[in-house]
Amino acid sequence: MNPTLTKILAIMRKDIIAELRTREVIVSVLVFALLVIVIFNFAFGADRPIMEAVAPGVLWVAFAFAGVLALNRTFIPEKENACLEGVLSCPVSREAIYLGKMLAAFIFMLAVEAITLPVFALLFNLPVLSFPIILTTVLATLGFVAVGTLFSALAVNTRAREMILPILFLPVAVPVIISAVKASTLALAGQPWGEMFSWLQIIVAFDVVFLVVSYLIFNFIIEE
Amino acid sequence: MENIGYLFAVFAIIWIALFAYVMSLIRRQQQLKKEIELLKDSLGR
Amino acid sequence: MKLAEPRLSYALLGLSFVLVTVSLLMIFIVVPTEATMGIIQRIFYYHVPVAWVAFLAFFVVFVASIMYLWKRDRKWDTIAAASAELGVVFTTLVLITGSIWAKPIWGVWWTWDARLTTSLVLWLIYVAYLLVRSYIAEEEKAARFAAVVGIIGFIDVPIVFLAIFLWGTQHPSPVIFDGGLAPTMLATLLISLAAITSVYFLLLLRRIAIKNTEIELNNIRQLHD
Repeated sequence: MNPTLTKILAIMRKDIIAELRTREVIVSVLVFALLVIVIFNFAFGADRPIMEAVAPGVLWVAFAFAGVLALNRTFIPEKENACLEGVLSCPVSREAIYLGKMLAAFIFMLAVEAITLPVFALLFNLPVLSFPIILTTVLATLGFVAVGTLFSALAVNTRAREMILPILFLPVAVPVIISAVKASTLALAGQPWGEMFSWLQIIVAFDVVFLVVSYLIFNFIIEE
Repeated sequence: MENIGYLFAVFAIIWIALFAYVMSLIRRQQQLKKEIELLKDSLGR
Repeated sequence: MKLAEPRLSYALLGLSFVLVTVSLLMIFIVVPTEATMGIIQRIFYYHVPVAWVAFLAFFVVFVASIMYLWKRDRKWDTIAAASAELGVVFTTLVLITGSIWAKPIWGVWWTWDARLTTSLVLWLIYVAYLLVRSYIAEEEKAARFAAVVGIIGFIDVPIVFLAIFLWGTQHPSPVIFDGGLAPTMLATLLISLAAITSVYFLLLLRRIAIKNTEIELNNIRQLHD
């Protein structure tokens, strides 16, 4: 197998295994996502028509904030335990580090979403386990982690650390969030693919653009 | 001539904001000048 | 650095003064009142140029960021930092003037109209840029990270606008105005654009000059210690 690919997968595996050992981050992020959903439910007074109208929004607020939490953890352990220097001392390209970490974050987010979606469907009695919504979620998450991994590496190296990540990341992620919510709303209403397609196109465009740009720019963040 | 209040407000705000920014630039410049003087003195010459 | 030379600044100062005076003359005396909105429509002649120049400022940040990462010459970072500051000032003005314009016309202080919303997101992105700069102590790292944010932020802008625009067409959006621009109106707009652009460059040069002085001062201090 291509040596670079091996390295990328190795980095990805390292992150996943580290997480699987303690499981502390995934549990906290999951609970957080569910909490967001529950609190929103109280905030809107459990009024059925209102809940149906805001459901996709609530879902994506939960994913966006949970995503920020998860992304924060991508590089903080490296920084704290000085693992990054260790990884860098191996003959691994910085791009490979980016891809490896991004893939790990991606899988992590997918795991969180895979659990949150059914629970959401249960709590709100809404058909969120449909193919369009799952597709939207996967594509949007990809865009999230593409930029998020880059910004996480950046945030960890500033004085404000975790706090700067949402401030930096969420405005940039606005197109993904808007498109995901819109596409999910259309899917829940049972609309045909037509209009949903434009939103998915925006998400895909975002994914492609930012995967490429982040991949190219990541070099400049990890320079020491 | 209704709404002339709003019209005035907009232009006033634009120029006040720019003016405030210029003032902050001038203030920073004064501060820098002072620090240069202090530095010159401490260097003794 | 020859850009910050006083003579250029004085020339720009003179130019700005002339252009601003002429633009104000045009806006308040020459140009006819627009039929639908009445006198408040004259805000348009400053609101739009300020928005365009804000965008120009962020484009300058984008180019300067790329140049900095490529050449590693500090002057590019100085340009980026100064332009970002100005961009945020101008974007703040767009939001405020847009809001004041909205109140008498649409009856509300804010509307989630595509352009205003994009401006808001733009403001958030570049405020984050300034925050990143302020949260890093080491000069070189701050410059590098800020450049990354400057590049990503700008690339994001068209996508943000596209998404918000598509989102906005779902709600009936208040129309700014339809129909073309009468020649006097076009002339007024262009002169105002020239005036605001001139002011931008003037402020940019002065901001750069101050930054350069700060850098020099720090250099001398470090040599001294």
